[in-house]
Amino acid sequence: MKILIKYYAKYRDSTGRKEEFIDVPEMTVKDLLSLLRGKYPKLNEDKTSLIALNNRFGKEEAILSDGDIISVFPPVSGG
Amino acid sequence: MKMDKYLSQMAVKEIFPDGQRRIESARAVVVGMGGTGSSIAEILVRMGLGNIVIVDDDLIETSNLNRQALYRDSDVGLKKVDVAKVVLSQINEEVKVNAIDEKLSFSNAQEILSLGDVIIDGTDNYDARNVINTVSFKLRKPWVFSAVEGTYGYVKTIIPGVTSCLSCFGYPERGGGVACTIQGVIPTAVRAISSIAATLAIKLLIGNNSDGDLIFLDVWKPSLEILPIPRNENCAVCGEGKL
Repeated sequence: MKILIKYYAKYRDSTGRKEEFIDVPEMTVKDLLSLLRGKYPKLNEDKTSLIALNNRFGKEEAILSDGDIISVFPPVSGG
Repeated sequence: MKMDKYLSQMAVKEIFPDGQRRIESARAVVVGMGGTGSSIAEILVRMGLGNIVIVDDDLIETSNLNRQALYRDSDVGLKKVDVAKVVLSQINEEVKVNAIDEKLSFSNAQEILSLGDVIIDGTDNYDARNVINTVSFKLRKPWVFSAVEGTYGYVKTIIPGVTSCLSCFGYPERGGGVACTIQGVIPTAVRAISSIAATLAIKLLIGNNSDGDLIFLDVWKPSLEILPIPRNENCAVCGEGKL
């Protein structure tokens, strides 16, 4: 199935792109993040990343469906 | 109420007619008086907040001055809360300013955070936000999360039992964060994030509650994303059975 991945903030530099379509087998959102961390090692500079499924957070255990949109944000600590 | 001082904001339909009275009778605790905290405090004091409690144990450093609203070259080496209290009191003599020269921790948070009707996060690390998130929930105090780095940042309203909290969406709970001089931050991002955070705080204080969406703002592109975060029933802080 085809998933649209959108990268935000410094992750656009980490991956060299704003977004991309990728083909994946059935997997959870959390599994997809692991896949992306393997594809783009710079994402591992953050211990955790914030990941939204179809613009909603808190869906790490959800199973992906064809056409889903995943948004990946870095955690931010400064103030 | 000094009508002339606040006339322009009172003319805004979102605040007129009762909002200003509520602002002037409200109490806010701003934790952290760095980039975001000092900017948020300045906005709230100029708007006539009744009582503000500022919390920080840091000293002013030269590297703070490009973005931290209340400090000048001559203040380097002084306590942030001491200088901020003086400056905020000079900006608006009608506002009661209380300064607490302490680092927020689980041992003092309950006492400090209970001083406000709303809590505002001006901190710069995950540990402090975890304290605010956990203790605010126990106290049932609404709060505004803000964080900034580089050219971007996040803002979110958190209302215990109503919206999701920080732990609901996987925001890190541990860590001291990275110094702004290392990770980098542009002052305009600090001001932009602070402006939204202050607005969310005002909305809470006048009873116009936000929905708890995560707001992501990048001043460089510029771009703004608003992402809903549902409550997580398994959340360790605010999940089912925690209320």
